[in-house]
Order: sequence, then structure tokens, then C-alpha cells
Amino acid sequence: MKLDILKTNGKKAGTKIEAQDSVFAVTPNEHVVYLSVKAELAALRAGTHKTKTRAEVSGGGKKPYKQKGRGGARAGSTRSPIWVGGGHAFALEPRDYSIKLPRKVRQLARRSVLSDKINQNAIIVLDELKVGAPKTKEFLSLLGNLGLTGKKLLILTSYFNEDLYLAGRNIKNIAIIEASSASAYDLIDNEVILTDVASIEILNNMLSN
Amino acid sequence: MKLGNLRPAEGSVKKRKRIGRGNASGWGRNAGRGEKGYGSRTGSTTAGLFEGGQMPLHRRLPKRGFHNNFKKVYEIVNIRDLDRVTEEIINNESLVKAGLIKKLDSNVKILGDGDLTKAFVVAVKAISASAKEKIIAAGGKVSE
Repeated sequence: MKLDILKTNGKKAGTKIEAQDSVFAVTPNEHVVYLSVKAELAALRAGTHKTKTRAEVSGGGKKPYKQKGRGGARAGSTRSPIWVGGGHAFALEPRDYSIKLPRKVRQLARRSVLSDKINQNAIIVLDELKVGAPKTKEFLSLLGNLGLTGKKLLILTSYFNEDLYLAGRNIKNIAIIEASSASAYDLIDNEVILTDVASIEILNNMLSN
Repeated sequence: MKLGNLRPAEGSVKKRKRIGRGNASGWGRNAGRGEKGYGSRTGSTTAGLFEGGQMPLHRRLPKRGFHNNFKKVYEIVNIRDLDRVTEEIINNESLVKAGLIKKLDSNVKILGDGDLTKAFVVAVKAISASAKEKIIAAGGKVSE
């Protein structure tokens, strides 16, 4: 599949870039994308929660009162879960929430999202992603040229471009990510993906089989 | 396909079975454990010969006979089988190797059924008179 290349002023450059069909034209598999996004969000959970069971709450070693003759319920510990000040019945333990997905499933998820974005005409390829100076104003004028002002954007770069990062970091709803490290979640969480020729090549190489 | 309306595929997610949440759920009463009380706990056991409180068979019948702790038990090998042994000597090792006895530390007695063709040196725990005769007749030896 051929994609049109735009110049930074928003005009067509006249040339095209080959986007591999095995990456950008697969039948999207929604279930796999769901699994991949779920796995990424799950991996973000810190899992640093902890409460104490009746065994861990301090005190409670002695039988509070004798077994019979007082008219009250039998009691063996002041830290029983049904007592005020007692432990938790099902106490939280710190744990890892991450889910392991096979590498091929994660790849298919990224291909599915990219192909879906192509179907929605939501991938814009520039000849080169750059700003003249590390100024937010420069970045906004680039977006204005392309008619993308105010949209939720994913900027896929081929390398870490510090000027671009500095110029874009104060704009709302913009994520600047290197193409080699973009996950299915990064790719789907936007209205439009703005990228350049070099990044498309990286995706071609990384995701084609 | 949007982030907000991603769904797992139809049929890929099973609803959790909530056990012990009322009779109408289908998993009330015994909660799938078969019975209530002691029998529903982990590690519950009943004695092997227990018959529900009825006097069990092994106590209903009278005691009979006795058990001799000093009984000597022999593994029997007949000399018709000895030709299967490949070694010159007949002892526990060679008999186990030929599959004629099971254990190395058995007491073995050679009996005289059948005939043998090879000459053997026989060194086992016990041997019958007729077997001894046939072994010597075949040119073998018997060491006590």
C-alpha cells in the first residue's frame, strides 16, 4: 500500500511511501487489541497495597474472657475480624497485576490498530518531523498547517528529537513517542497519528513478517 | 475501533460462579461440596471398614487361626528351568538375572521337577534330594 507524503506546510510532496500490507492492511482483531491494552494498563498498576490479617494485627494473644457463663458470644481473640479493631478477613497483599501476552499477539495488536487507523484515514505521513526551534509556537504553527489544532494526537518519531519534545510538551492531548517503542495502547489512544517517512520504515521493519 | 469501546470477543470471558449465595443460585445449600458439616471440610475422612455404624464385617465374625512369625518362606525353582541361566554358577544373582526369582535376598529352594542338560555349580539356601541327584548326574556340583 502507498501512502501520500505531506510537507510540513501541509502541501502534498508528490511522492509516496510504501507501507507493508502485512503491517498496515491486516484485518483488525479487536479481541487481541483489547488483550494488549488490558495487559498494558494492568502492568501500570503498582500493586502496593497491604492490610493486616488477624495474625498480623498486634495484640490479641490472650482469650478476652472465659468460654462460658457470661452470656456473650464465644471469643478467642480481640483481633477477630468481626471485632472492632480486629484484622481484615481477606487482607490485601502487595502483588503483581501484570499479564503476560505472547510476542506474536502483541505484534498483531499493533498491526490491527495501525490497519484500523489506515481505514479511518487517521495516519498522516510527513517527509520529516521537525520544528525550526524548540518553541511551542513553532509546534502550533506546524499543527495549524496540517489542520490538526486541538485534536488528540500521537506523534511517532524515528528518534528522540529533543527540540520536538520541548516544543510539544506543553500542548494538551499530545503524546510524542518513538515508533520503535509505541504500544497498541499508545497507537489507539488518539484521533490522528502524525508521523514521518523514517518512522513508517521502522514500523515496516519491526512488524512485518 | 476506539479505546473507549474495546470489548473482548463474544464468549471469551466467563461469568464468575458465585458459590454459597442462596438456594436460587443453584450453588446454595451444600455449595457444590456434596454435604454439610465435617464432610464438607478439607481432610475429612472415614475409617476404611466403617459401615455407617452397623457392626462391621471384621468385628462381626469370630477370630480364627494364628499367624506364625517364624515361618520360613522359600522361592521355588525347578531344575527344568535352570537351563535358562547363562552363568556357570547358580546363586541368587544369576537367578534374578534369568528372571527365575524376584528378590536378591530371597530364600531359594531348588526342586527336582523336569531335567537339565547343563552342568552347574549350585549355591543356594536349600535343595531337594532329587534335584541334587539330577544336578550331579548332569556333571554339576552342589556347594552347601
